[in-house]
Amino acid sequence: VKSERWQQVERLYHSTLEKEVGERPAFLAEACSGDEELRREVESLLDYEDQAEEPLAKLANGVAS
Amino acid sequence: MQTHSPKEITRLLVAWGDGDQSALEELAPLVHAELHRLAHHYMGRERPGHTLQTSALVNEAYIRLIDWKDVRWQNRAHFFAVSAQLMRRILVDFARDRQYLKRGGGALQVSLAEAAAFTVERGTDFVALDEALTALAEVDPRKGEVVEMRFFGGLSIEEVAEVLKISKETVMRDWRLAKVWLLRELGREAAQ
Repeated sequence: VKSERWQQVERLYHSTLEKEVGERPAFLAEACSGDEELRREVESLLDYEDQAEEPLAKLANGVAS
Repeated sequence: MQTHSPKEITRLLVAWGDGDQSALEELAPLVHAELHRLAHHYMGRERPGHTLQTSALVNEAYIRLIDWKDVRWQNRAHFFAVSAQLMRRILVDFARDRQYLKRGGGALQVSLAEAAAFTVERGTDFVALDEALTALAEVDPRKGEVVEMRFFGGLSIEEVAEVLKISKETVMRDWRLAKVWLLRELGREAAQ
């Protein structure tokens, strides 16, 4: 069962992605209206957008190298 | 060992697609045996830079086991879905057996970019991936299924949509978010 919080994160993640890259931080900050934890959660996922096309093993093995 | 004709296996697949869950219980071990055999055959070769496309492997099992003339594409999607689940277990067990447990042991090169082009190379940390996927399924079971099917079975967006009875758009959104979630999770695991 999906938690309400996760559904919130999910909705916000997708709606932020619809914005231009430059507009995302401001959009996100406004949408979270002071809920820092929510903002950080969505932001931390968005941080990986660029890497989603990279081989996963780079990350999985990153620590040892 | 009892042998099963393609006709019989095909009948089970069609019955399962029509909603008969007991057919799946009969079908799964048969598919597992074939996938296991194929996976070990390919992965046992131990060539450097050896790659294995899981989707190609599942496809080979499909061709060997199923009388394709008697099935619709929806049945094929179901076959690939159950295979994906079985494949995940086979690969993770294989990784554990081969003591690829150690993080960064040069083990599996896995690309999340395109599941259809998913290749297995020596070095991929399947155990870490499996753990991350299990964690994802706890947060969001459906996303766990989407990744499993795309990643371990090479199912297309359309096929996943058919199996899960959701829209293609939903599959695409699930897939997109699931990927970054997994990457973040793997990054955290690696950082520990």
